[in-house]
Amino acid sequence: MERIAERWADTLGRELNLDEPQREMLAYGLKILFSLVYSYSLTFFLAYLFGVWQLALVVIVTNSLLRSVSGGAHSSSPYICGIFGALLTSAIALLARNVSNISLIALFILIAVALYIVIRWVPAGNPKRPPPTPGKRRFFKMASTFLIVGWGFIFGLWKWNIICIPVQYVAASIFSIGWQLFTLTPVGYWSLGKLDAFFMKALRYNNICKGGE
Amino acid sequence: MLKSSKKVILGLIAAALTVLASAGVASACLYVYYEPEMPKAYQK
Repeated sequence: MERIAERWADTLGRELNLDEPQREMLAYGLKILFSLVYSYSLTFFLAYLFGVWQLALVVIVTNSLLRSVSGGAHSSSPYICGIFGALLTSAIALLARNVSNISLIALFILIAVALYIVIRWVPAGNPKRPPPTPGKRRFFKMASTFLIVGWGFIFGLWKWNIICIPVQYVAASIFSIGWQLFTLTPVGYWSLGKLDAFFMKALRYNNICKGGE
Repeated sequence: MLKSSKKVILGLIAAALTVLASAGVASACLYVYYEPEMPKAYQK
């Protein structure tokens, strides 16, 4: 996937007479595009097979929004990312499908834990990015807090019947936020590292990927 | 004519990819569980 992105960026760069930093930017954009298309296609395909693609969409949107401002643990290969993301999203959607009631106490506990995690660990460290500046750190913390509080507000409106959303969709967003918050913690990093190593071993064993490519 | 149209299309593709890459650079993390290496120019 990364090699194809580099090759396409080379071709585009040559055709448009771009310099090296511009070519690198195109390669980065292509890698993001391929990663998104591959991961989301696999996720929707699997969720469609289980009959939960609408819930999977809620999981993806909630998770992506919070993840883009909070950071989180990563897998070492785009292939593992796709497989893991598809399995996890479908599992959360299947779990949410069976929920029939959500208590207000659960909401308060989740928001309290969420705010603690955001204050303590956002933005979560990422080895493939330079550490954010103090200004950017503050921005990510504030944006994450805003998202959590805003989401809690919408949940409150739903709980008091001011807006009408099926309970399964609300449950899908709760589980999605819960999982995303977990990936911000040291235990989350450790667990994802172990899962990543397991998937890596399985893929290498089947000659699907070599050396993190 | 054909050559200039090709250049325009490629330019539009490059612009769209640059917007996507900029969004990736500006966010705390990508929306999926894999993160490609960031371009050197943006690592400072």
